[in-house]
Amino acid sequence: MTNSSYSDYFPILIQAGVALGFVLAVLWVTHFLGPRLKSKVKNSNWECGIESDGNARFPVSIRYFMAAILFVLFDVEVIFFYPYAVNFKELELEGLYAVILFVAFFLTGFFYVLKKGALEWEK
Amino acid sequence: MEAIIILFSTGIVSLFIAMTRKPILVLLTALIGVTVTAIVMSINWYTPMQWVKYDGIETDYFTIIYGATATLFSFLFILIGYSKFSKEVYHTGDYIAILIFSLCGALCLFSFTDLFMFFIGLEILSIPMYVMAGSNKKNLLSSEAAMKYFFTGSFATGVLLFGIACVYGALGTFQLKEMSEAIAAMKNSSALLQVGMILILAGFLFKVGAVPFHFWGPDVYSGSPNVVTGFMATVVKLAAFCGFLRLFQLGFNGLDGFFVEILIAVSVLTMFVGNLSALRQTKLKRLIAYSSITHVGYALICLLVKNEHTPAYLWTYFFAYGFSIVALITVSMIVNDENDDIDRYKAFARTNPFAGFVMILALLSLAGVPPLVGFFGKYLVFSSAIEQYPVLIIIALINSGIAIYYYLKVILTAISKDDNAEKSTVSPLHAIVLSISMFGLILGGFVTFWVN
Amino acid sequence: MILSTVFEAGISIQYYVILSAILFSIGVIGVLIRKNAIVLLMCIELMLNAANLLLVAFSSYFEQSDGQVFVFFIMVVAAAEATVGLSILIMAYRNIRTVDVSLFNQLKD
Repeated sequence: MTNSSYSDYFPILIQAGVALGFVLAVLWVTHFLGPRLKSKVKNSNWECGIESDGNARFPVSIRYFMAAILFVLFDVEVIFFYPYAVNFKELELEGLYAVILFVAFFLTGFFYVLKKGALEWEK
Repeated sequence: MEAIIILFSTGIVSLFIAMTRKPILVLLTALIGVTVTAIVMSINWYTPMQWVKYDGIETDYFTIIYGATATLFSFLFILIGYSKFSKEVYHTGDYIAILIFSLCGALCLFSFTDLFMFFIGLEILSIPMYVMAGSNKKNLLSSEAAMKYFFTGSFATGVLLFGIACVYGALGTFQLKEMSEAIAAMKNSSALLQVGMILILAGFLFKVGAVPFHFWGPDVYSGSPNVVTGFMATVVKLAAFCGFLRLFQLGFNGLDGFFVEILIAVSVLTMFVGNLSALRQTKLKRLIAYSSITHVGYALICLLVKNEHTPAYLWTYFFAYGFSIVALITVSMIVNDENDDIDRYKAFARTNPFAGFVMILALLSLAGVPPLVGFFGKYLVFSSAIEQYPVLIIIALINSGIAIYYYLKVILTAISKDDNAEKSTVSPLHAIVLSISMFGLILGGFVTFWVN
Repeated sequence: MILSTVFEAGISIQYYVILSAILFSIGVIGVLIRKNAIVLLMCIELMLNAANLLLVAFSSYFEQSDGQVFVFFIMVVAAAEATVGLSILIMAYRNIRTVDVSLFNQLKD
């Protein structure tokens, strides 16, 4: 970290400047180009297709929450695989046993979730 | 380590056994597992077992007595709660397993040697309790308690973690041994270390519910189901106290200077706020909550004394306190009143002589009346600090005096006459637990002498 | 000018400490003043992530991997905590039909 110098960061600065400049320039240019129209049809959410019906914030089934929450839980376990994958060769058999044990633990959890019926979509 | 593995497997097995929909099987599995854990731990006393080696955990003398005590109390709470758990056949296994998992966390906290195990243990201890606080799903109060407990608990975790990160920055290690060496080698203490220690201390005070951070305690205690309240007041507090005592003594070479002043102030405030609020309570669980805040104040005195016997005194204190809570929670389960009003206990000692007797013993023990175990806890803690901090001990004694008032009020309600009072039914499990806690309350004093 | 001095010296450890202290403070203030339970949950995550950042920064500063391993544990615990928190939130929402924490005031003296 201590070896880095000003020149190392210079490309990043240029990149950031170009990105910001492009966005600003495009916004500024489009302001003058093209005609402007305002009407009820123009401002509506959908200009064509099916008429919108009801409120977007309708109650969602609890099943979706269950699936989402379980995803959050099982998804994070992947971060333990990452260090294992990086050190796969050095850890040899001992590491493999540890990972198998780890996978067994959370498969137990997954099996429990299945048995409890948390993932059954229709009951 | 063996004990934790056995306990963890017990939890898993009871989760799956619950799918047979036979709650009695779950209870038996859990009780056998917890008993085996206790036996395995006691074997360690004579010959240290080394089947499974892990650097993060080290079993010593205090691990065993603390572990055995936490296991005993969990055993009793599973017994007490069974009548309630078995009503929902579908969830019996979950409740019991969650309590067991929480106990696993407690065992980690009794034996950690680095901050990894400390943090993991603390979280394994707390997260199940957030769930258990809300286990009465249809009840608004229970959800509210769970919500409050969750937010204060995870806030405390955040503060604690930032503290740990700062300490790591100052010392460059997570091992308790290397930490204490690094602190001893330090010529003048670094600011980063001080900030880290203050944040860790704040996290600790949050977790145990000492005064500036006590507001969640009474709400959570009164909203949670009775068994969970009991579990929080005994096992969780015991584990949190032991964990932080271990951290401060082994990792930070004891607290001194500035931190001692903070702790003295917190301790005095905690005692007064707890006691004075308890005076006007009309609900038993709220009374228990405020009295537990007061007891945290007394127990904080242990952290101030730099002495090799401190863990033993702290243990005695919570051992004594735990039996009283077990007895009181059992009684509140027997009465089974939704509102939990103290008036509901009117003439309780007359209609149910045995349960009433144990309840009175428990309250007297909390007040610290001599032949009972509560007296020994208070005596050891106070006498250990009297030379160093005489004023603090005098304040503590005054507070013990105030506390007698509200305990006596409950006792007088329990023995007063009421012709309309009905006899409550005592289930056999509750009777067993009451007898065990009676023995604990009367004979516990000798056990503490033997251990000390 | 300030920018160039930072870059020439490399990003020193102080800047990480300051950044994570700021993140942590935002989290703490958020928990203390906001009323929406989901926002509270996000603020708590922010506090944990401030600690993560600090640990990673120190870990790279000391050139050892302990701090990074700790971060893995914190991430997993944070996920578990978020799971439990969200479940509690859904349960509470079913009972009271709101996630405004100031309406959870049934329990009091």
